Amino acid sequence: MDTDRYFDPIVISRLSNLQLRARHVVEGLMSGVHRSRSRGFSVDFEEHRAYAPGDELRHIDWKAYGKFDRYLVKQYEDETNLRAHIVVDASASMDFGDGPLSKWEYAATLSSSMAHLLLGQSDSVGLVISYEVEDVQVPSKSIRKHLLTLLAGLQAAKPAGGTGIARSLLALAERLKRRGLVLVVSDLLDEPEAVAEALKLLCLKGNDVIVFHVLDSVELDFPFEGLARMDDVETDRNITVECEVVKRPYLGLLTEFLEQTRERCADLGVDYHLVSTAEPLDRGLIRFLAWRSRSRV
Amino acid sequence: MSFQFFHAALLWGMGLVFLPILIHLLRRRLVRRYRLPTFEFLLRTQRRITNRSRLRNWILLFLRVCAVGIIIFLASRPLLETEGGVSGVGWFPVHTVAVIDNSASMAFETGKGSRFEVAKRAVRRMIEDMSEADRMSIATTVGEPAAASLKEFQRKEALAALERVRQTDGKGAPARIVQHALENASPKAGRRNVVVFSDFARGDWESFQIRNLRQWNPHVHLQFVRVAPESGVEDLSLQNVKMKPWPPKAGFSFTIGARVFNRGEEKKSKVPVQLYVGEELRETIEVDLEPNGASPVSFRVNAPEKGVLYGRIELPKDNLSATNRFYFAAGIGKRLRALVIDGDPKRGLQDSETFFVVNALTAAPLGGESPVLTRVVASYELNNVQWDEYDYVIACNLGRWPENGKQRLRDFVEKGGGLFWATGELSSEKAAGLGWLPATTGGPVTLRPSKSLKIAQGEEAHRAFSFLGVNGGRFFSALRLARLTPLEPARGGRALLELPDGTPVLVTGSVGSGQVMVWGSTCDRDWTDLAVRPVFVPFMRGISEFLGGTQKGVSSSADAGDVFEIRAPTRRVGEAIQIRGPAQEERATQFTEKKPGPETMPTDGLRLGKKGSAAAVAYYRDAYLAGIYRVLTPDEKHIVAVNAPASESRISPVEMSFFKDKLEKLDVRDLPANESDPLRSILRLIDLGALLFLMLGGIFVAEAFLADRT
Repeated sequence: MDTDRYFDPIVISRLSNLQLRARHVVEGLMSGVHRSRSRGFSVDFEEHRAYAPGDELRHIDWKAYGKFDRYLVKQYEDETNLRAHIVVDASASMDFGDGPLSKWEYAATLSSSMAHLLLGQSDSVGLVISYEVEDVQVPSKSIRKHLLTLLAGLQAAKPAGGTGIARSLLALAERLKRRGLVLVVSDLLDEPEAVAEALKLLCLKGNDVIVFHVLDSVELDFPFEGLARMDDVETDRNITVECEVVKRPYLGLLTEFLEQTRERCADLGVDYHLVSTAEPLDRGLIRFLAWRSRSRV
Repeated sequence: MSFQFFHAALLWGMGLVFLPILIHLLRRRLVRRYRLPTFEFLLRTQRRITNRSRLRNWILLFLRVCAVGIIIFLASRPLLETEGGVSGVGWFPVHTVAVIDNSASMAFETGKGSRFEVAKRAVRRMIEDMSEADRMSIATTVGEPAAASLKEFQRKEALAALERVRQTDGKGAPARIVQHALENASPKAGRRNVVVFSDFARGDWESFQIRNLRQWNPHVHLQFVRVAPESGVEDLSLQNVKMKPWPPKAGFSFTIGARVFNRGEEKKSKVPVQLYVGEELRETIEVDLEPNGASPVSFRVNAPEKGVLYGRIELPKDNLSATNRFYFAAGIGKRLRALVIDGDPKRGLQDSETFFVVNALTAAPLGGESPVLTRVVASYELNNVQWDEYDYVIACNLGRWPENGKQRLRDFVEKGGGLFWATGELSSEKAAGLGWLPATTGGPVTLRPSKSLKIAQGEEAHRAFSFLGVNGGRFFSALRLARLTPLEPARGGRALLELPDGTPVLVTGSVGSGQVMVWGSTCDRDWTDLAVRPVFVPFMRGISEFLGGTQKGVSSSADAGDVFEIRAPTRRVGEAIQIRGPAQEERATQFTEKKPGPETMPTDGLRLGKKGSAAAVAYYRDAYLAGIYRVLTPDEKHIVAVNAPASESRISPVEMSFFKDKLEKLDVRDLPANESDPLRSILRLIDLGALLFLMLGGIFVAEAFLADRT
């Protein structure tokens, strides 16, 4: 079975609805994979959900079965053992893309897919949409319909303004009371030191941090030729350059930046993934699942 | 220091240097816009490289502008003029062709020697300034035809070659020499110069045709050096010298007319004009001459009876002596002497044959002289005749002979004398007993009706008919012959005139060295009306020339530089002859066999000797000085007057604009007579082609290096 089509950004770009995109990606990823659910223990009833093969029979609400003639499983608020926060960068620099998906679209699709996965495993997922000054926050919940809230938040967001990812991470670090998982999806075009400080604080608080560094293939390859006027997407600045002249030093600086970021993340124990918008989306998810599996060992 | 351009028009293409700038500006207008989130990196990159890159871009733009400029410059073939001699350096030798004008006008005195000497001094300095690698060739405008290639000399040889160059009184052929120098300057040399030293007198240079320079080589620098132009043109000259009649007739006078021209700004009074005949001063005439004015002079001279006549007209010595003398020489013509023997002297004068014959031979134009002297004797007077005094004999109706008369006549003919034997009632071969004549005669025959004559077939061009012009036979068809002594050609004789039925009337043949003609009728009106017909005079003159030979005078004059062609019989092939020049120097030349085919005589030349008999020729090519030349041969002597060509008296220089119009690249400099360092006025021209090629190569390498760095 050809599963690549599920993750091809070109195919995904044709799906207008973010929910559809997330389901498309996750179903593609999970097709042929045995589903296994982690066991949770509950304190407060939250809601019912449909029984799914793999659920323990003892969790079936037999009373509800008698009432609705359907197998329903009780879910409790403290069912999950993971509290995840997805921080998505919505600066103007994310609204850029040479391929079928812009960085923002790619980041949103990636985030919603991970939320889909996490919620599907009864993990609690919250969302922070990072702007330059003030963030948009969606509190974390583990109920499945919370996905719609998350997706609605992502769909409502419009990339604009400068980058405030460092500030958003710092704010999140101060806000989090419990340890959890922080998924950062950003191009990290902020002050590297500030970003590193914020990540450090998150790590010091015992959070697991995964960074998806999203960059467009144009940014990575600099395919321009001839004389070109380059406009900054976040400011009014522009510059005229001889592309052949600046290409090599530009790529050098970029590589230096990426290496520096990677090293800093490695030093902090942050799982760092550089993702190009030209790459299939499953790669990011696979990396995420790989981390999940490692963290459960 | 300045530039010359061979294709100056191409310099208009220099506007193309703006092409790289234009492309640069157009490219700026075609800038595309992009958005880039990682702008900050670009900004940092640009900050780092901007200064270096901008400098490199400016350098690249500059190099491209230079490259375009150099290409245009190169295409226009730039030549750099620098002053300072002709020497090159070891790796860049110079071949200089010094063309020295040694025509007559260059003898003009400047106060520091003649212009020719000033030019020689300048060339000598050029030679002394040569480096070891340099080469010098020396050519002259008058002299032997240029060799196939100019001989290249090193310093020592060049000085020796320069010493051999002599002033002449000839006319220069500058176009030919300049063309030859331009075409044959050594292609191996790094630089090639052709420097022409001349006064640029009109007489030599006015006919200079640019089309003669077929191959204009831009790598050869042509420079004209005007020698001592400040010395002016003040000069007295003899012009339009005319002699009449010329050649003079033996024993008669002739006139020499000329114009004395004062080419100066001052009036000249009592200028003596002297006539020399031989070496003897015969007459002096004094003339007054206005500035730039002329005055005619005229002399009358009596020609001798025989031999040669030579002399000169002479003006006082001045700046240009070549135009002060005019030499003349001529061989004096000899008049033919004819002995007319009257065989029937008893008859009246006007009925006598000799009356008609003598009048025909001595006929002359009004005021003119007959070329024939005649003497009439009766047959009985023949014993008193000195046969050697006569060139030919005309015997009319001769029947009686004194003792030994026949033998003396035969001896006379066999030694080369001529004989015209006219028959008549008294004469016949048998009666005369002249068995050696080329025809036998019969008894007289009366023709009824009378008949006309015609020229025998194939004899129309015979010398006896040479005075009758074209179609001379028509004169004989009109006359009537009533009585005839029949002739039968014998002993090699052949008929020249005959009756319509072919009966010979005039027969000719050789006897020993002499020529004999036998006429089958009389020379009076008894037998024919020939004597009263218009044809009789030219007919008798033709017979006279045939029997006695031509004895006209010969004019022997030539221009300095002309070639003498001396002709002689074949037996003289290999024999040497001497020619004595005006400075009494003797030079030898040798007779060679004349090859059949077209004439080998140069256009400018003088032919000496009999053309008809010539099968051996000798050439004398060294008559470059004006004066009297004597050609000394064992059996004859020629004397030749050689003068500077009349055009050499036209010494005012041509305007340099005349040349500049024709030779755009021409470099003209003046060489004053008192110039202490004449080399300063000599330019050298450096071809910048190789240098520009190197620069272009360097630019391409630098451009490639810088472009690659980007």
